[in-house]
Amino acid sequence: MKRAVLLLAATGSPAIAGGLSSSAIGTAQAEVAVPLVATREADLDFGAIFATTAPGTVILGADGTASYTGGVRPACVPGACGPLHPAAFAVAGEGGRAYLVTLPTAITATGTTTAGSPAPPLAVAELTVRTASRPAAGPGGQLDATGHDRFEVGGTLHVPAGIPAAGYRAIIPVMVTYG
Amino acid sequence: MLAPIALTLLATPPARADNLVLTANQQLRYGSFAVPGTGSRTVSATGLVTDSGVLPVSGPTGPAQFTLAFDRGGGSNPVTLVIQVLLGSVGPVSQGGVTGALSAFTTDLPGVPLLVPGQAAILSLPSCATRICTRSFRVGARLDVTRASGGAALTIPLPVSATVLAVL
Repeated sequence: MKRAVLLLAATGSPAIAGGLSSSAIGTAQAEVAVPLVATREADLDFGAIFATTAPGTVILGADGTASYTGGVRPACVPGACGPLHPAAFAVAGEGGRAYLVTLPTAITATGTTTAGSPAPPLAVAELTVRTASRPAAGPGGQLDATGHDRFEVGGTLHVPAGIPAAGYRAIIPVMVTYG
Repeated sequence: MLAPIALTLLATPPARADNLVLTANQQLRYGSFAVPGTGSRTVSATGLVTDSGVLPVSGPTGPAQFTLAFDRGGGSNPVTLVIQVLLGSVGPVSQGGVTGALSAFTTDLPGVPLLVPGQAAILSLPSCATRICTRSFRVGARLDVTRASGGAALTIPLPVSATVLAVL
């Protein structure tokens, strides 16, 4: 009986598995895209206007169409001045990828009067985007197979009543991301 | 009468390791991102993503997952498994004008926060009372990318092996 106890104790000792092994190959995956680059080709230009005693707007579509409301009138007859036009940008990135243009809801144009003093600021709002690849898709576009596209930006210039003659400039921050 | 009983006990094979299977369940996913020149994305073993010099685009991210399944072949007493986990050599991968290299491997295994390629890590799995003892673990890493031109879909193998050192 004493011998049996000893044998049981021996079978209860640690069992060495000794080299039992297995291997597997996992993978790490990443998709590295070409960075998007937007290059300005033209500024958003509302042209020369007359401001009257009534407020008004200049509405410049991203497709280049222009209209005037209220007391605002174009200062030049057609062809006499440089044409007003939307801002234009070229986009380059990964071929075939969709992208999205993000614009602020409104910006402020600052100006200087012809006398050299600060002019009242003007609001530029209702900014719109029209891409060459998807003209009806608003801010969404798609790069062609070579990774290129273009888009234009229009907006509405709000002109208060009775502002002095002045020149105005504004900076439009444009962000382009893969969509 | 004692001798036959003893012989029977000796003839019965002790509980032994029948099988060990290591399975790769999930890829280490870095998603999609843009790199102007050089940059890195780190996906931790817990899934935390940290970027440096890259621009997120889209796509799922997450750590790799492996599962160890050890069939002890029988027995009902709880056992402790001592397993060696080894990450093999992981070299850089190039595709077109893009090169990616993995480093700084991390795991969620208790006591094994880091995996160094070529260096064994010892893992203890205590209190396994079932016939098949399983343990899943996740692996994260840092991916350094250098982009000279174009884009690329990088796939980098992660060779992992496991060896049972002891069943206690």
